[in-house]
Parts: sequence; C-alpha cells; structure tokens
Amino acid sequence: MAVFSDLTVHENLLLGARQGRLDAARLEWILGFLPALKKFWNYPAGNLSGGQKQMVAIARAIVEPRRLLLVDEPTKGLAPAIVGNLLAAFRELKASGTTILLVEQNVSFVKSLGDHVAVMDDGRIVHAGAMAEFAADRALQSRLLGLAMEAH
Amino acid sequence: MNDPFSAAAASQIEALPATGVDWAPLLLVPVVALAVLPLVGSFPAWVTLTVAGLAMGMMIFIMASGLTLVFGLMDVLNFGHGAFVSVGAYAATLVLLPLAGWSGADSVALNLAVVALAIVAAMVATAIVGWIFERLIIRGVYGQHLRQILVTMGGAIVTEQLLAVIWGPDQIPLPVPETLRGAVVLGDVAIEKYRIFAVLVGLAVFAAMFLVLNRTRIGLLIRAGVENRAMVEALGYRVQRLFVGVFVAGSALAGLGGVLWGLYRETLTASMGGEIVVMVFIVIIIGGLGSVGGCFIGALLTALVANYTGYLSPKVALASNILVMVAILLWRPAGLYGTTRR
Amino acid sequence: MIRALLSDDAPRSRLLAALLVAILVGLAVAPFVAGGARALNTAATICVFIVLVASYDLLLGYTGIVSFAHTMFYGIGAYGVGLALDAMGPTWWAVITGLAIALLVTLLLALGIGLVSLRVRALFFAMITLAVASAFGVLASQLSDFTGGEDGRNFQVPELLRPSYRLLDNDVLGRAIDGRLVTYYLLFFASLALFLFLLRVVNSHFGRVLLAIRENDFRAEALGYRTVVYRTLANCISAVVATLAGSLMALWLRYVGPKTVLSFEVMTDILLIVVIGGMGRMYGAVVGTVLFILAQNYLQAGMGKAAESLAVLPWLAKALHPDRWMLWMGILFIACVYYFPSGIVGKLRGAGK
Repeated sequence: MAVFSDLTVHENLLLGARQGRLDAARLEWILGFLPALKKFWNYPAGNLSGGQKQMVAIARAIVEPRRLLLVDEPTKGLAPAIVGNLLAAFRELKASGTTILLVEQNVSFVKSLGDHVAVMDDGRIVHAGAMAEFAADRALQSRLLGLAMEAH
Repeated sequence: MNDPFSAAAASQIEALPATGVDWAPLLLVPVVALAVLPLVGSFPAWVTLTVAGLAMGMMIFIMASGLTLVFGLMDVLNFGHGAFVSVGAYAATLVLLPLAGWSGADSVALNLAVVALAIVAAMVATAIVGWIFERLIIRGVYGQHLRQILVTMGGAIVTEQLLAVIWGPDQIPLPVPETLRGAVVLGDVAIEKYRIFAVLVGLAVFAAMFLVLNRTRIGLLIRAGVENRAMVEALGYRVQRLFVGVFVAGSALAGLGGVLWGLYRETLTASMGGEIVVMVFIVIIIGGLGSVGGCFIGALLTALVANYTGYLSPKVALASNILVMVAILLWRPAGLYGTTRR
Repeated sequence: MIRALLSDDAPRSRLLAALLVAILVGLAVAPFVAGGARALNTAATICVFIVLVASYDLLLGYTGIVSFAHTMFYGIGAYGVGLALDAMGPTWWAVITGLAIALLVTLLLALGIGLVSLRVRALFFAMITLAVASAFGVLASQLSDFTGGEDGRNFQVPELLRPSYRLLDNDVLGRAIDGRLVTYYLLFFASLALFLFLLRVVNSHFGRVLLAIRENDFRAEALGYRTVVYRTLANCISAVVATLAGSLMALWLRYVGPKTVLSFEVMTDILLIVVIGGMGRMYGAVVGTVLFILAQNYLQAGMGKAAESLAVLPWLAKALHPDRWMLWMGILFIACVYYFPSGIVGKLRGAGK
C-alpha cells in the first residue's frame, strides 16, 4: 500500500476523510489499535518504516465509516501483535455493517474473519463456499493449500 | 486544520515533535546578501542593490509560482506561460490608459485603486486566456512531453501575435501612478517606492500561497496531487478539475506578474513575456520542479546575484543566471527542494 | 548509385520524388534562372536552412528531444568564421581557423549540456538549452568589443568568393561567372553533402537505435544501449552540422549579427519548418524549408493585398497584415502537431501508396 511520503501522517488521514475533518471518537478508536501512528502523527509518512506506512494506509482507508472495503493483504509487513489488533478492528467494522472484500495469504487471519471464502490458484477460483465449512474441513484445506497449511 | 487528536488525550503515548525544516536553502539568500556586503563596500549602494534584487525576484516568483505548481501537479510544463505575462500587462492597459487621470491624480487612494483595478483586470483576463489555453491546447497532449513542449510553444506564438493584432505592434507606454514614483530617502539610502511596492505584493502572494497550500483542504489535495496524482484519484477526488483550477490560478498569477513587470519597465511589448520566461524557467529548475518554496528562494537568489554581479563585475552578470543554476545543481541535482522521484 | 547516395531511404512516393527532384534542379540552376540578387539570396538561404532544419530534425524527430539551443550552434559557426575573417583578414586560413575554433566550442558546449541534462528528461533538456541559448545570445550582443554587439560585424571574404572576382572573363548563359556564383555553389554542394550525410546517419544502425530510444528509452536501455551516450552523440552531430551551416551562411552574407543568426525567431522558424515538413523524416526538412522560405518571401506580400481588400473588417485586416505572418504559421504549427504529426512528407507518402 502506498502513502503520500511528503505529507504527514495526520494529512494522509485527512485525505481519506471525505467530509474534510477527522472524527475524534473514530480517530481515538483507530489510534487505539495502531498506536505507532500517534507517535509519528506529525512526521512525513515517507520517513516511516514499511509496516508503519502500512498502518497509515489502513488507517486512511477506515478513517470514515464505509459500506464496502476492498483490502489487499493488510497484514503484510505488520508485527504479529499489530495483526491481532487489526483483526479485532476488522471484526468491529464487520459488526458495524461494513462489507469487507479481503485478499490475504495469512489463512488464520482470514479464517477468523470471513463469512465466505474463495480460493484462487493460477488466476482461477478453485473453491468457493462458506468459511465455516472450509475451516472445519481439514482435508479440503490441505488439498487446496497444501503444506502451507501446516505452517500456520 | 482541525486536530481532534490533540483534544482526545486519553492515550498515554506522546506524539513526537514534527521533523525539522530543511534549513540550508532558506539560509542561502541572507548568507549571499550579507557575504557581498563587504565586496560592495558602500552600505547605501548595497541596500539599493538588495532592494532592487528583491523586487525583481518577487516579480519573477509571482510569474514562476503558478508554472511550477502546474508542472508538479500535472507534469505539464507550459512553454506558453510567458505569453500569459504579456497578456496580463496588456490587459492592465484597459484600465490604466482610460483611467490615466486616476494615476496622475495627487491622491494616494485613487492611485492605489487604479493599480488594484488594473491587477484585477489582468488576473481575470489571464485566467480566461489560461482556461481557453488548457482546453484547446494542453488537454489533448497530457503525458506526451514532446508534443506538450511543441504545442505550448505554438500557443505562445499565436497568443503573442493576437496581442499584436488587438493592440497593434508598437510599444505601449505604461505610466506608473504618482504615489509609486520616486524614492524614499532614509539618510544616505534611497529606495525606489515602486520596488518596495513590488516586494510587498510578492510577499503577500507568497504568504497567500503558503496559507492556501498548508492550511486548506484544497492545498492539501494539491500537495498530495503533486506527489502522486493517481493515488489522489484512487481516493475519489477529481484531480482533473483541481488541475484546471490550479492552471487558471497560475495563469492569473502570471497576469499579476505581467502588470507588475510592465509597470516596472514602463513600456509594453508583446514579446516581454517571452523574454522573462527564460529567467522563470531557470528559477523553477533551481527551486526544484514543483516546489513553491524552492521557487521563491530561487527567484530571490537569481535576482540578487544578477544585481550584485551587475554592480561588481558587469561582464560576469551576463551569465550570472546560468552560473547560479549550475552551482545549485552541483549542490542539489534536483534543485533546492527537488524530489528525487522526478 | 542513387540508392547508395540516399542511403536506401527512397522518397517512396512519386509526388514527393518529383518534388525533391524539382527542388534539387531548381537550386542547382538558380543562379542562371533567378533574376536579381533577392531571388539568389532566397535560394542560398534555402540551401543553408535545409541543412540547419535537417540537423534539428535529427534531434527532434529522430531522437525525440527538444532543444532550443540549435540557433546557438548555428550562431557559433557564423561568428567563428565571421570574427576570424574580421580579425585575421580575408584568407582561407582565417576561414579554417574560425571554423575549427567554432567546432571546438560547439563540441564542448554540446557535450556539456548533454551530459548535464540528457540523463534527466526531455523537459529538463528543453529548459536548460533555452537558458543556455538565451545567455549566449545576451553575451554575443553585449560583448560588443569582440562581437560587434547588436550591430554585428561586416567582414571581407577570401578573394575567390568576392562579388568583384571573375572566374571566367566571359559570361555563361548571360550570367557573369563571379565570386557570388562561386559562393553559391560552395553553399549548394556543401549543403547537399551535409544533407546526404545526415540521411546516412539516420539510416545507419546508430539512427535505428535513436528511433528505439525515442519510442521507449527504458527498453532500449534494457537491450544494452546506453541511452545517454546515444542521445549525447546525436546532440553533438546535430550541433556540429548546425555550426557548419552557420559558417556557410556567414560566407554568403559576409556579415554576422545576433538578429540574423542567434535570435529566437530563427529558432522558432526551425521548429515550425521541422514540424510542418514532417518530424522524423529528413525529406520533410527539404520540402518544409522550401515552402516556408518561399512563403515567407513571397506569400507575405499576398497577405498584404488580402488585408487591403478586407479593410471593411478591420480586425481580420489586422490579422492578415504581413507582419502577422507568424500568427497563421503558429496556428498551422499547432494543427500539425495535433492532426498531422508526420507533416507534409508523411501526407505525401501516405497519399502515394
């Protein structure tokens, strides 16, 4: 994910807010699970590390309530603790009625979030169905995901 | 800008202070000005040279600022920008010549009013010309540098020629209003009033641009668009519309620069914009393409150096702009505040 | 034989071929057909401008970079020969010395500008050349002790080229075989040779690499071609040819001055001719130059007549005033960039097929 490197973290988030200002309560909630952003609030985003930039991009995407979120590999480059925070945040977003279309390689992250799942191989969907069924069927998982499963 | 974060102080992590400003380029102008003081020797001469340089620099800055922003935002370098300077100066005659009585009157209010009206007329005229120019000439060649350079050059030729069709090919005298004539004398130092006026207008434009860019949402969008246009579009903003706005505003600034410069020269020719535009290009190269702050410093620096060398060694002054540009590019190859991505 | 001379780059259109032959023959016999000094002057200007424009096309059309310093190199050639003749007296040694110094200055400047700005991007090159060229123009007009300033310098040419010199005692075909005629043919053959040389350059392997860089410099670099080297080399060749063209012009005019060889008007003329004739097509330089210079010399008078007859419509009359010639050229230029990027020659070739 890309951020505006010459703009500060604050300004990056402001750009995501279509109404032109940040909602204090929602910001408090975001900074609660992405605390590093608070530390670098007035820093140019370009000076941040890859994982921190990722946080800025995530925060910018959810800075206002949206009906649909398209998210591509949000956990890439994030520390495990932050991934846990992110998971909780996405669950809250989901509970508040946001539809999330998530593309992710981190299967355990996906399993604990999704209602539906589609597995892609070589550009084609090779399996689609309910996440509960997929999560319960170990044989299906190992057939589709192979050894990678064991690692998780 | 609102900062709800400072109000919501529940979290215990403290925000780090903002990172420092890149000071070295900011020091350049005062350091150069002070360094030549012993070389010039006489203090009154130094003050006169410095004020003259600042006045010229401010005028160049006003003309260059719009050009550099347009370039940064849309990657369009308008070689026709100089023609807008001429358009502005000619449009000012629509006010200044019929209202010559106001400029000649012994009333500060009337004098300043006529200048203000002339500036408004020039800015409106160049804004309209800029809007037409963008529609007819630039819109079709986005992203194609070679054709961009060619068509904007062609546009400049046509615009200059149209000025000659409308106003005739001869030079037009443009008298400076009474209040702005003559000099202010402080002890040994005499400073021309018009130069002070130009410096004040330049500072006002710089302050206004700084505030718009750093304190408003439009400014935030412009800065974001300068850095990464596609990402701003991905966030759902219409950069094209923003760009037309910036282009029109940049053209209007060229018009303002044209009025100031026309009054400074006191005569107008259709090619006056084409002559100054070389200086404008040098300034935006020095500043770093797309940087308003760099453009400001670059404008003051080149104009001051031109004046100092003109006094100290007239032969060197002929190439002083190029020498300053080469020196700056050796120090910072992308210009004072250039980004490496471009 | 002809194929080899043209470097296998045939006109590929009957109409274009006929036009080119007509131009060649016309220029070759011009001194005997053209009545009066003005017509011969036009023919000589056409010869030099064909070379000047073609060398610019090597940059603009074939390499895809915009330079505003082409007149600077043209001016260096003219001033080099002119000032040397002025300082050393009217000898061939002066011509050779002046030319050698001019070529050296040209090479240094072209290399310097190229190495500084060609690695960045086309826009940067355009801006830097504009800045350097305008500074050079200021220098030439201000260093008046050396260059003669705004007034320029008149000088004597070697005896063989002087109007008073007679090569043959008798007239041939009703024309005196004088130094003027010798000078004209010097220009004619030198220009022809330079043009054929440029044609060879663009049709060589080097020329094809330039085209590849123009189309996609990233891929050309990936194929192993150092784009900076190729662009800089193209810039140097183009500049050297422009310098030679400038020195020819100086010999013809027996005068150098900033207005005639350094001004920005000359630069815009070159740009207009290349684009209208056809970018990336050497023959475009020939056709474009002939049409442009003939129009400039003879069509402007027609504009004046049209303006008089339109006196009832004062604005249109003003726009058709001969001095507003560039207005119409500018409009034609923009239209060409937008709608006929291949120019006249592209159109002719397209129609011939």
